[in-house]
Amino acid sequence: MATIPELNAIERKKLVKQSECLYKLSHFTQDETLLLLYRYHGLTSDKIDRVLFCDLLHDWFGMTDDYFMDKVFKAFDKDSDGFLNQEEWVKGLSMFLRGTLAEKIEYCFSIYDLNSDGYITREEMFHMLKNTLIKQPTEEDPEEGIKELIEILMKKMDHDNDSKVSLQDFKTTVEAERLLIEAFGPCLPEEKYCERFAAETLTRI
Amino acid sequence: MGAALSSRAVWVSASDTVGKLDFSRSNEDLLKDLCVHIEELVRSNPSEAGVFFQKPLVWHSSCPFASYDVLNQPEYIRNDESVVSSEKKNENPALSIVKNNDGATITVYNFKFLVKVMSCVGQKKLKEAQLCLEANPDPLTNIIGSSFHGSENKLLVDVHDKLAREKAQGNNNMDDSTFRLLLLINNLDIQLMQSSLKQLGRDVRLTPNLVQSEVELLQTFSGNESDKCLKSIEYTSTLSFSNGCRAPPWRQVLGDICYLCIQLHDSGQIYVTASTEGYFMNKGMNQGQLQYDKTGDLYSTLVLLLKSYSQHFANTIMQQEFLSVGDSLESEVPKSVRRPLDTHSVPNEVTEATDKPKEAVVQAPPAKPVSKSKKSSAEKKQSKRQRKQTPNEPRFVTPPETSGSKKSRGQLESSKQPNHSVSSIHDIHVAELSENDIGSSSDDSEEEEEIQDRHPESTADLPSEYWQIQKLIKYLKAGNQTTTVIALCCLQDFDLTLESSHLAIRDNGGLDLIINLLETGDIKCMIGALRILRDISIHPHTRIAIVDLKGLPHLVQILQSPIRELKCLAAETIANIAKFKRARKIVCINGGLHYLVNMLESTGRPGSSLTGERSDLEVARCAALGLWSCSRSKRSKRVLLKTNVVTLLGQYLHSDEVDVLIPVIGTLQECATEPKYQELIQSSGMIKQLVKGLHVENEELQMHCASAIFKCAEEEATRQLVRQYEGLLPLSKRLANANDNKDLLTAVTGAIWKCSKSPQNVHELKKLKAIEKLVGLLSNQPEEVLINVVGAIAECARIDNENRVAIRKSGGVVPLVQLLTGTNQSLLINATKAVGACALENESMVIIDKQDGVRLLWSLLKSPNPEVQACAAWAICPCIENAKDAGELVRSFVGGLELIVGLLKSTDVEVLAGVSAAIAKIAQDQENLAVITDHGVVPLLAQLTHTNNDNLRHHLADAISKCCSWRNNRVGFGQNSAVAPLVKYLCSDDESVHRTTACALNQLSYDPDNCITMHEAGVVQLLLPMIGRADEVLQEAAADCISNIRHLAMANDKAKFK
Repeated sequence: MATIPELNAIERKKLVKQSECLYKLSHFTQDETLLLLYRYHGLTSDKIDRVLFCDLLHDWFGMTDDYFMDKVFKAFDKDSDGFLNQEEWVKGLSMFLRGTLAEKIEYCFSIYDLNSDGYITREEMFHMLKNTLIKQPTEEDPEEGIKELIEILMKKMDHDNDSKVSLQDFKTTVEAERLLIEAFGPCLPEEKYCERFAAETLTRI
Repeated sequence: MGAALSSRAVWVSASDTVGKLDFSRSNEDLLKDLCVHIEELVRSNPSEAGVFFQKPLVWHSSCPFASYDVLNQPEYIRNDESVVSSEKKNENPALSIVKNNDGATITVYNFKFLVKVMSCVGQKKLKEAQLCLEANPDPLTNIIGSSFHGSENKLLVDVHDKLAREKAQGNNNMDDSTFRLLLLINNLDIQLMQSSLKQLGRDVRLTPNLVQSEVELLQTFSGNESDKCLKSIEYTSTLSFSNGCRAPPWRQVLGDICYLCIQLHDSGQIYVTASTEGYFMNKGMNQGQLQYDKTGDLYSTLVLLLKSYSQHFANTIMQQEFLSVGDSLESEVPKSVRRPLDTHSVPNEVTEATDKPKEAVVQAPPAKPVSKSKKSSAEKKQSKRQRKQTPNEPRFVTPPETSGSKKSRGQLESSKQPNHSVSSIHDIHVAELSENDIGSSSDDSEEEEEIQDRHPESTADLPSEYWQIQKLIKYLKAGNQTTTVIALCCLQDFDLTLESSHLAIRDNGGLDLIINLLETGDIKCMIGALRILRDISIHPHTRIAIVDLKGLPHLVQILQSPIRELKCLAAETIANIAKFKRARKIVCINGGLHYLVNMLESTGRPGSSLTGERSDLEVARCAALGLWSCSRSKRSKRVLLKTNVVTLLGQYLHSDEVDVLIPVIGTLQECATEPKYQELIQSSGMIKQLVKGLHVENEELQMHCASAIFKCAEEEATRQLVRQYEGLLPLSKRLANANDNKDLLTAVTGAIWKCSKSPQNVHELKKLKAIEKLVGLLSNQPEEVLINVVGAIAECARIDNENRVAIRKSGGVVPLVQLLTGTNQSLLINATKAVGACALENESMVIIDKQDGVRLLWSLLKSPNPEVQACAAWAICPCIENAKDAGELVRSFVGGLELIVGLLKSTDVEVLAGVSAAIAKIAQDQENLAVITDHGVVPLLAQLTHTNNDNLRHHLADAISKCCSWRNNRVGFGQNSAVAPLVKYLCSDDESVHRTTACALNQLSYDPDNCITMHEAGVVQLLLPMIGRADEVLQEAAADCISNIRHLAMANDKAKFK
């Protein structure tokens, strides 16, 4: 249940006005947007920075992978100023909680495309996956294992056969196989956490 | 000597008594032997005896110096303190004895003087020898010097070489006689060793293990063939104590180990005691008690005993080769058992001993009697599968010639239990037979036992997919969540229905990994894992493997998950797995059934975009699939009865989706084997839907609907409903497609059969011309179909004569009669009913007669199955009634009349009723009546009169009344006290009983004694009201009977007053 923070009348009015603008950009209703803004306000008086956001991701959404949490922040932070303002906050959470499949696909792709050139290349895949295999005692070179896996993935995803995965390739793959949306790392929260957050924040007492 | 000393002498190694010889029997013997041999040596080889040692043997003697006083020959130089021999070499006297404080010190340089010293001390020879040896532990070194003393094995060779060399060089350090002495000492050594062996041999006592090994060896040589040494050899007792002995404790004290009963080819049976001293024959069994007294000699081995006792044994045992034990047993094990055993022992070789348990038939069940116990085959198989691989040690000491190869061991273990394996195969056949029993319509297909293990392919044959899949499994093992999901998705790209894919996943623990993923709680991993499990659990082996790895409880847990995708996948997987009994049991125990039923009432979110959206109908479909598989077992049906599953399933019957309908109706028809379910289905109005389903163009659906109707039509109400909803029309239409789907045909004909039990339905079927179609199906159909078809024909023919005519006209009679020669019991029962029903029509009877049908029916009376007997007897009645020259016909069967009279001794009521009815018909022919009277029909019938079964009473009375027309049968019945019980029949409620009883009593009353009996039994009161009944026959019989009684009474009066 959302707790309404202590606000004076002016601040409250300001937030209400903001919510009127912002809710149209998101999947939330105005009321929900307002509640989100209250939450935002409750967290910080100014803006949310990276550290705070990563803490939030961990506490509220159960994410643990620092590398990707970082990337999530970057994805949220559209203007790349190192802070999340209210608009970015609302938009980002809208995608998290209520995003359509297409939106999520785009979001994930933007995270996985490390150099933002519109393609995911082998090197980028390697960079993301290199720490995912536990070194077996019998194996000499764990990197070999990852490289082979990347080959398999590339074969699966690269529909236009240009040795890199474009957004379209990625979309086609994920639409066929939903589980691959987070193929390179966890960047979306699990359902149960979303539900919990929604129950806590988006419903008035 | 060195060897003998070092090996035999037991030295004490206590620190303060270093180098002392242990005081033991064997040492004593050794010393004795030594002394004896050395003396012998000296005597026979004087020149060698005089050879000087390199170093002297020195020891401290325990005897006082005075004892050496005997050495007073001139060759000794004596003084008070010492005795020295005059013989010298290099200034060393051959012998010198020096007195000191307690005894003397003796220095000896050759054997000659050593022996002389020994002879001085007399009794204390052994002690001296002991002291000498203790002081000079290595006499050989003393004798030939340390330079020569090389390795034990090549000592003589080395010495010889050295000697030759030195001689060549001109040295004369060692001369020939020393060498000869060495040789002599070597011989001495060998002799000592041999004597010690003899002693050891003497000391060996029999132990239970030795006895067992010998018995088992002889068992391999035993058998009924003449080239075997003996017929059989067995222990008299199957119990054994913890020490391995089988003799009772009071006999064990006396040394008995066990008792054997041996059957020989030429000398009959003997009893042998195996005791710690050896084997001997005892006096054998006397009135069941074993006499323990010894008769005969003691033998050290059983083979010797048997050789001495049985000539045949002595001859053949010589010819026995030491076969590799696996081979000899292999020839005994029947071929049918061998194939599964072979394949199981092959994985023994190929895989490592630490591999996961495969489906091993090989195992020794703990403490089970070796008799063929008819346990449920699934139970047996379960206990076998749960056992892990043993290291396969051979159970007894194999003869040294056999190789202990794993394969023979594996077969050894398995073939040691031929009874078990064979009985399990028997159980398989029993299980298969019971599946053929369509009448009860329970499906328990695909039991575990029918699955044979597969041969693992050789590495070269494996396709490349195998390796690719293995690689992906590696990622599952080693990767984190992300990689795991990727690997799971890629695994789905392979064709998982191929067996090689399964192999790939199961080897190296891939299956285990996937099942473990179910526990992780990570939704994506779980979804991926479930998809794979669902696809691979189509294969029987994989199913079993999943259950063995304890995958089922997790799957059941997942059924409760709020996420639809997971629930659906889990339910589908369970549906695939629960195709064998053990799996169903596990699901039931873990409460899976309740969860599945809950899924039918599905609520909850349709699912997020990420995990896939599943509609309500989807969820219900998966749940129905799961329930369908699980409901095959009786226990599950019972559990489901308590839920409202039938109503829930009924909701879905209204849907149009065939995919949903099939599992739903499949479940319903599966459950409908239980009567309670039949009631529920009928009362909840589902028959209408089932009939509707018959119209849908999907054959599988039609089959299940027909099946459901078949099972439910046991109830009268259902049958009426089927007709009302016009279900007979589509059913009868399907009959036309004779060559199609046999399962569908079975179901349809079954439904028609059961429905035809109601007369109105028969009428309907007649209108639909179904009978002709049924007759058309009498040829070229599998048995399941025939049973139903014939059943339907029988019901139709029974009710309506027009049907009989129709059957005849479509040529149905001939094939029906031909079916009487079959073996399938259900088919026979229906066929006899059909033929009996047809025989009611005269022209059909002619055909039956021509086809020898009556004889076939009569021979069915010999069947061991009482149902068949009863039906045959019933069928015979109309045949006899309607056949031309029935009397002749019956008489023409050799032994036929005797047979049927004999059946009066049966214990089955139906049989008795049928036979009585037949006898009533037979007795209408006078000649036949004479014959059956000769066969003793009168007392037999009389015996049966004490019954309360109205059906039997009816026909029995009929038979009695017909039999009375021959000579003295009336009197006979009276004498056999048949009359009084008959009177009681009049108290029954059944009208037909009254009629025949009245007739019987009427017939019996022509004999005065019977009248008296009847009158005393109070028959008059009972018969009087019957005179007023509507049945004319009853009226007349009752009246006639009373008039006879009255006549007798009047005659009696007249005689009195004369």
